[in-house]
Amino acid sequence: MTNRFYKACALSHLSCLALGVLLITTLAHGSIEPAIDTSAAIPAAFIDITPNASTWAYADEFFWRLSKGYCGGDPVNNSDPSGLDYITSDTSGTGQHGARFHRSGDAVYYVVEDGTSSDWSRNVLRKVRIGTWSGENIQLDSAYGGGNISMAGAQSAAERGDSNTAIKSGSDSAINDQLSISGAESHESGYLAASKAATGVEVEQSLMEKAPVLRDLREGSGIWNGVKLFAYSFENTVTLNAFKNQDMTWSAYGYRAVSFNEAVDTVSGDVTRAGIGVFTSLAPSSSSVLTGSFRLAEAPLAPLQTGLPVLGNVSVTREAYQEAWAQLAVKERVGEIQAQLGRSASFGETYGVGVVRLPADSNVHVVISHASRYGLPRVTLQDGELLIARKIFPRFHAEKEIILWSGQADAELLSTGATRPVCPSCTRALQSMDVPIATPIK
Amino acid sequence: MRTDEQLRRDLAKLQKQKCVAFACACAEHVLPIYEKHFEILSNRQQLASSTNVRSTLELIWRCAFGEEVSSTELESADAASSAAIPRIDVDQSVEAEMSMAASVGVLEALDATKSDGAGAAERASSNALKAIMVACYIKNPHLPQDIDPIPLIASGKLNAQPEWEPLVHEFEVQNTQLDELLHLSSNAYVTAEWKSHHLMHGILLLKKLGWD
Repeated sequence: MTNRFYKACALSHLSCLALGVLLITTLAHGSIEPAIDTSAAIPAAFIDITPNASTWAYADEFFWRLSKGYCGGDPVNNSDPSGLDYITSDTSGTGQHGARFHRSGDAVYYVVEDGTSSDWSRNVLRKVRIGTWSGENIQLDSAYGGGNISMAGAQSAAERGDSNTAIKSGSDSAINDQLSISGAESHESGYLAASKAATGVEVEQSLMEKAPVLRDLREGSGIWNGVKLFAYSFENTVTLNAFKNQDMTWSAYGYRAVSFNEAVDTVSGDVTRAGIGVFTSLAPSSSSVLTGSFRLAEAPLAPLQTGLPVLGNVSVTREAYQEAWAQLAVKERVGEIQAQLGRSASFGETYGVGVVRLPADSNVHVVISHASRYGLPRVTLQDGELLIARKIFPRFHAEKEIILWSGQADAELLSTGATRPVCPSCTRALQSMDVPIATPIK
Repeated sequence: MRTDEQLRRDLAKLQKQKCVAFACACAEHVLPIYEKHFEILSNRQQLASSTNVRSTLELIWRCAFGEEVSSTELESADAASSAAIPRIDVDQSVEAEMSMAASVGVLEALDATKSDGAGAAERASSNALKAIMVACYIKNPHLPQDIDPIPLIASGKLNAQPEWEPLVHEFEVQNTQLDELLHLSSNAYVTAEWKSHHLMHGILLLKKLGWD
């Protein structure tokens, strides 16, 4: 549904009074600008694994931003001018660290760092190109020395199929083999590992290295806050066509991300798009997260996990994911605000919560409205949340404030709720716009 | 004067009975505003008697003094008071908004007797300030509505403006009473004299608003 349509719907379902006030206000002040500054909050709740990229999601320097999902590019420089894919080692200098790779059917070895062994002295690259060998497996067939590269079994392999990049265990290999490989090879990059094993893969170490906030939390509390990936599976261990229904749990203090792939090309097996969303109660902005003031929320996770299979049975778009997020975010924030309101909630003091997708960045934002004409909201806003100016439409229901504001901001309203049951009038307006109401209706 | 955060921090230091006392004092200050406008609101909303709210506050003061009050009494008082507090979703006038804020603090004070007290006491404070803020707007319709006076007063930026004097006064009184409670020994209860002092603040507040 387009924003224009939303706007039209919003206006069509408001009372004459609402329209009157809107027109009067417009005439008085010219175009009404939302009383917010949206420029400071650019949430990056998703990464997209773009078509034609391999299937590794890359956790960049600030993992929670997840601003860029790509697979196979140079994980050190975060971009690969050559367009090639690499597996890297974080070892450096002269030492007893090394790994070697070969292409299947090809005797050429690629050596990752070795300062002593004559056998391994060829092609010291520190990173192994894998991107151009479409259709062939690149096998990590041996490793030696200490340090970060290790391998538990001869069957372990780093492997790349035609259309998917994966570091996976060999057919007879235990999951630990893969962990060893991924832990070493992705140490610098935070590659997400995948496995056909039912238990999934944990790549805590590598991601922790790239998540300073999480690391700080861990150090502060003494609790390990790792990142776990689980339930990855491959449709076919030979062709490695796709992974499906995978969840990624970011288990640090309940901070959790869920990823899923979508739009798998059944012919080529290409994963054309995938997303990983970071779940918080607010659409995370880089500024809020970087200061460590983001809130870690466990509450939305249970319903999300219930909801995901429904989404997973269809081709899930980023937009659908945002909409699912919106429902949960609204519910959660409404619950929190209710608790903050105390007794006044029983006497009609109402806050509305909405999630909108702004046209400027296509990201989602949580907006809070308050029907009161005066004073600050008596609830604590989370970083990144937008307070809709209550003075624009005084005396309107909080939900209608959100509807009207969304129309003005040309924002797409994804979900709405309120701290008291949504009245029939607001319900009709929202339902006619196909905006889900995340909280009880009257 | 304390910011919200400072208020929260200091309330967390108080024993429960002192949180109850703080909440009672906040409610006491603004209850006259509610009582003053009750008749008008009652006509609109068929509210029960305003004396129920006053009686409930007296009951909670007894808790603050250290007296035993049964949960049955508190529940009964809760129900009676709730029936006398205006609903601002029913009556959307500014007077109703003011009166609701001026009376609901009593229920927060009541809740303070049941919980750890600090959160409810903070809300009682907030409701008292809200009631006075709306009263200032009613009395001075020219006051700009696109400001948030409470944090501005907390930071001393509006204190020279006479229109905001009642709100500034309430801020100061709340600060003082919290200071007093913080300095009270840990096992001590507030006294009837302390309560009377805050009753006087309510009367003074009406005068400042010109509604005496």
